[in-house]
Amino acid sequence: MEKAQISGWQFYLLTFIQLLGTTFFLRPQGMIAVAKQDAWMIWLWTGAAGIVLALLWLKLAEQYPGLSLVQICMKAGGRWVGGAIAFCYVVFFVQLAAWVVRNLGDFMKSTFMHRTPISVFHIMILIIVCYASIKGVETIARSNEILIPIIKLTFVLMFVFMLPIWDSERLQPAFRLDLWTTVKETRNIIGFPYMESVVLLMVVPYVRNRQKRGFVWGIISSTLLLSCITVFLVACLGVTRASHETYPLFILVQDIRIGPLIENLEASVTVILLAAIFLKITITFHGAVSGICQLFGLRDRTWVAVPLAVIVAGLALSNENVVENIEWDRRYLFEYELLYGLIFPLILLAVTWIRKRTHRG
Amino acid sequence: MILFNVIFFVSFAIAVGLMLRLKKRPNEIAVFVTLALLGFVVWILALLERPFKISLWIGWVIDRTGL
Repeated sequence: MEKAQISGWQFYLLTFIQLLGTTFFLRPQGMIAVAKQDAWMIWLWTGAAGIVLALLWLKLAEQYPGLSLVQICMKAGGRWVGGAIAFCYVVFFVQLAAWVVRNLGDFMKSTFMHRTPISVFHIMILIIVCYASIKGVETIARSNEILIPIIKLTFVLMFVFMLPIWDSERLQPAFRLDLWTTVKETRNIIGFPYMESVVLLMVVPYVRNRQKRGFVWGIISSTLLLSCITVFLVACLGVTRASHETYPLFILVQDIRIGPLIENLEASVTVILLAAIFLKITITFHGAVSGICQLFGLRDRTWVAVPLAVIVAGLALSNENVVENIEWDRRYLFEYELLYGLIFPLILLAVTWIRKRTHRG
Repeated sequence: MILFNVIFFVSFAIAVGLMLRLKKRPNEIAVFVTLALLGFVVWILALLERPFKISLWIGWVIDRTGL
């Protein structure tokens, strides 16, 4: 395990960006299609579920101070069973990284660079991600600290510039959602982004202090920001347009015009998207790399990160059918991520509890 | 695809040679070789338009288990 330390504030920022990542681009349109004007409320209940899950993960981490998720699996479950669970987590992180890389490729290809092969975007981002991962968690946390103010400032400016096209009438009729149907149809929101943040348990052992506060406040602030983005999308674009566009935020920013001089601000959104995606992939990829190192007792991350980047780029290239991906997200994502977000942590906690009781007896 | 194969195997040979020269431990070399070959398989399958999709298998398992 690398010798690194990050502060509670840096951990808060990592949690914030891990949850914000690609979510603000990919999630709102589906939610608006399901819950119409009430889409912003979905974030609140899914966010609450995310906090409950985070507290469960932190409870597990408290039982094994100084150990990462992969090490906890091996310590609690033993070499073979625990190792198998840890291996499943590593595969999950690799898969997550591949999904996020593909999201970046799809976005860049469909909006800005139509004639560039998609693997070019994948390879370019993975080179930087690979380098950041080799450098370690402190470097990732510091680059996150530098990039987040830029991301936040761009959001604030975007919100200010959107105000002239804000129409409160578009938020009516409100509070008319069928609660149970909406909860059922939007359960995948708990999967992506909240259950995916289990990868942060790979970072928790490096956090000096205030882990719980950092994690919970990271979830709260990103949830509130996502809720604000959804409100702005509905109020500025209307339900129909916001739910039919692939990247409504991008379309919305294209609509912004300030006088005759300032327009085509979509490039600025692309900058924050690239920064957010870079940070999210880096956290996930680093989780996979350090997971493999801890699982097989390796010291040098370089020789794991490079071939893993090749795998991630290949997997990202394989997820080409967009309709299939949407269907998978709607039908299977929650059930699949439940395994990593809830079932495995509960099993590990139960095993720990039983062991402690046996030792006491 | 020929270009990909050439680039992959040249860089693979250089990397393994470098690892041997740096006297890396056998388990490090084994993990590197396994991951690199797995990456090669994933790329070749994608280039042959028979992509390696874990998500399809997971979907199949979830359907079979009736979740």
